[in-house]
Amino acid sequence: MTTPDPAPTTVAGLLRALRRPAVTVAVAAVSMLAVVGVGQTRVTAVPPVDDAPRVEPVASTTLVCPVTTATSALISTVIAGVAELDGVSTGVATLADLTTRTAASDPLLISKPGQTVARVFREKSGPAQLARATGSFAAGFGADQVIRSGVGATRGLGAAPCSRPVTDTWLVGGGTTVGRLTQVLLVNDDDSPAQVDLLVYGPKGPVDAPGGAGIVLPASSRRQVRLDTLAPGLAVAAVHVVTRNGRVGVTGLDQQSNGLIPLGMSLLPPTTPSTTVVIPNIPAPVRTARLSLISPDGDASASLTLLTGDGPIVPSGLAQVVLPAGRVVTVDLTPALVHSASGLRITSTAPVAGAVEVRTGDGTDLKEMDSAAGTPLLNAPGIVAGLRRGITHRIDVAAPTAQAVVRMELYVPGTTGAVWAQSVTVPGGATRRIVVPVTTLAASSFVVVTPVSGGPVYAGREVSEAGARGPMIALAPIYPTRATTSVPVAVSVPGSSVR
Amino acid sequence: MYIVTVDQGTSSTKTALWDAGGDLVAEATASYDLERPEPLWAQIDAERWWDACCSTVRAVLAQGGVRPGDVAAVALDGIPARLAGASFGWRQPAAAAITVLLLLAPIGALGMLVLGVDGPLARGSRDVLPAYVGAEMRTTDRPRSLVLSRGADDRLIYDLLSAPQPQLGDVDVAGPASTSAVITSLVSRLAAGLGADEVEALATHGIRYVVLGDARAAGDPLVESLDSQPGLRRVSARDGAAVWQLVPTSSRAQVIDPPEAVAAGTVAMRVARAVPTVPDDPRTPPSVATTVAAGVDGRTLVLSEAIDSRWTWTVDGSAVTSTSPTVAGGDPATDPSIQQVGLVSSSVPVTISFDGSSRSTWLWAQGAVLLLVALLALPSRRVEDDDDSDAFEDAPDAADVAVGPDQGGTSA
Repeated sequence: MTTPDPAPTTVAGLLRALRRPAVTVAVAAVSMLAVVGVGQTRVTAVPPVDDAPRVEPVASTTLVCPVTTATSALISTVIAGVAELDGVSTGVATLADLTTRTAASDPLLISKPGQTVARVFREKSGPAQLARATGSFAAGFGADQVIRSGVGATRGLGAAPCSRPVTDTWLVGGGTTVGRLTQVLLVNDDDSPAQVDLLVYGPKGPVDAPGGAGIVLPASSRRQVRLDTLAPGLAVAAVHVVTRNGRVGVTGLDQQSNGLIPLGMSLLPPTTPSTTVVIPNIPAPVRTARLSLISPDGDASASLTLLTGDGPIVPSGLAQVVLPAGRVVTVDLTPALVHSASGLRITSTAPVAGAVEVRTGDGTDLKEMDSAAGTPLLNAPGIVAGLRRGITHRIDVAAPTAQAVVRMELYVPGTTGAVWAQSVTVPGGATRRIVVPVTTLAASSFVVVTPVSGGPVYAGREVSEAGARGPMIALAPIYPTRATTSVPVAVSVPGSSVR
Repeated sequence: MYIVTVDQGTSSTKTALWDAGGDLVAEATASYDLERPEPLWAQIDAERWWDACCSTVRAVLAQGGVRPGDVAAVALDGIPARLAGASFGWRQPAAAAITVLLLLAPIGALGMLVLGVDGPLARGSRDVLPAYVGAEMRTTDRPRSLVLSRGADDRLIYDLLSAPQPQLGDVDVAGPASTSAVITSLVSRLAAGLGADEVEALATHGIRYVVLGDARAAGDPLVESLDSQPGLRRVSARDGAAVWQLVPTSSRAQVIDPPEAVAAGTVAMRVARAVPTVPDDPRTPPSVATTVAAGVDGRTLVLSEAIDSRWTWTVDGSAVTSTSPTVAGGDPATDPSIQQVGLVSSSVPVTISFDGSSRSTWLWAQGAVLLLVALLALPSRRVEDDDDSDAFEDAPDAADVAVGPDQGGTSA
């Protein structure tokens, strides 16, 4: 009888130990864990990232100005300028014809802050204008388009800011009854063609308008689409502009006359459906005011609140407005607006787009109209370029929920700093209306509206020109400049696309 | 004091009578045939077993002249042993668990079949990209696509796809995180809509399409930012996904001209030309064997693959070393995610290839380790089994000797 091995330290002992099933399983498990462990360490670890998104100044701003329509009676003006704000120091801003690169004319150049440049189109329509600013000029850059006719059936005044090209937006207002001409102005500023669908909605819901499907805009081109050729006979319309390819700058041009008697002209700014819509600039006194609302996605119930100078008022009978899906519903605001200019807040159970059409002119005065649409939240300074003496410029600021403070400053080219500044406190649920004391004869002054503190604010403006045969008015939203933008934290996660 | 033992067998019942000393007193056998109504069938009426049991017990008692009252115990074959073996231990719960798992596996598989599955099983077949984007990624340009999605805390998650359909295991061949730092920075600036040169820089990285899987209908700030980027062109929106195409020329391998000096107020154009890669499986690293046409001085040939010693470049027949381009004011100072060489203005033949054999070697080594582990995990022969097998070999013998002399004497 041999003495047993005290411990399996030798190779033979190891082999003997491996013959025991429990040991074999244990060795297999450990080997497997080792293989998996090596694999795990080879997997790319998610790199450590900054904790919060950074805020960085934008490097460029591109605005598209489609309104360059002109006839013997109709004059269009496009004005771009760089306001002398803090931090706006270096860069280049241009206002250029939107044409193909080979046919490009010399752009108008802004090389120092405080300058404005303008293109005026008389007698003959011109190419759409592309306003672009790079460097820190992007933070103080604004561009506006004004259309004016003093005589004839087209008499009227319209204004709208130039806007960023988009892929999905709405125009609310206008119509296609006899005597009314509403046009959708589309501009493709890219080097490749864009394809656009215009989906028309009327009081009875979506309108079958095959002519609006698949409208092709060649590279760097503008197209004017008459709404009455798509869907005639609509007392009120809403147009959903959605691109299949590319992106477009959009503005509506709405003209109305009764034979040779003008009924007014307005520019329709694009607007985006939302569950809270604020229209800050409804003027008074007016002859009529008509609100058009559409809930594109589904049935909605909207409640209206007037944001007057004295605080919020719920118009009688308008606490709840039922909006069947896809139908343009009109609400007469005239009785509620007898007292004072005000803003309007619409809160809805589903996203809605809305605009208010006001008409002026009583008795012997010629009639005029204009439209104010839902305005984006003013979360950065808003810049209006091209103010001049002789025309009344009013700024409307609405604070729908809580008290807010905004600062308004007037800049005149050639003068350092603001020539006029006012801090305005807007109580919650109210609208403040400030007349800007413009002194320059040339259309070269800027007004800058800056939210300072408090709740959300929305801003718009009213332009009115006294005429021998009655005033002409124009309403326009004030868009926030994109001076800075939040740069999100990006993380590379290979394989995340299949999750 | 006697003991009766009953062995209920397949073809007969064997019953024996034993005295207290363990000596055989009597035995009886009742045989019966299995009914075979069909091939491979076997059945028997249980009444015949019962009758056989009763008759053989009566027979042994009669043979031995023993009264039933003198029988101390009746033993039935195998049952005591089986009952002893069936004493409750870990085997029963384990068997129950395995049974439940065996039942659940087909039910679960059926559920996956009906309800669909997410996760690894679905990978490789999911259409991440629209078909035309995938088709373009298979051309000799081999452009890449950037797939964006939103993560927690407003983070932007991106996946840079080199092949149209991502597959399980792509993560393992992704480069180290340090090489993606420049692209990560570009992606976040692209999503912010800064409007600087992000799009052109991404085109230099061979990216042609940007896909956002969860684009919201209206007012999505990320969509608006991407829409506002100069050089990005929205090409389609499908099932809530938005796709943008980079307008500047982008290709996995491309010749980029040096930037021109331009007048103030105009934009310098990036001039690039795609260099075709050798047609191959889009999952493999691209290779180039072509002649680059004549161009301008100072141009560079850029390959959108991370710099690595396994790449071999030859220009005009002689080997050259590719370098990472410098990043102006960037941190890190160079961009290791792409590589480039300078080219002369005249027409030159260029080849670029990648030696991926070291990875194959590593995969074979892993396979060998797995095979070893599988071998080790196989059930091994147990030493104790020798005794067990002896016992089994004895068993038939014992059964053979159990045939008694009076087997014909029992009544059926």
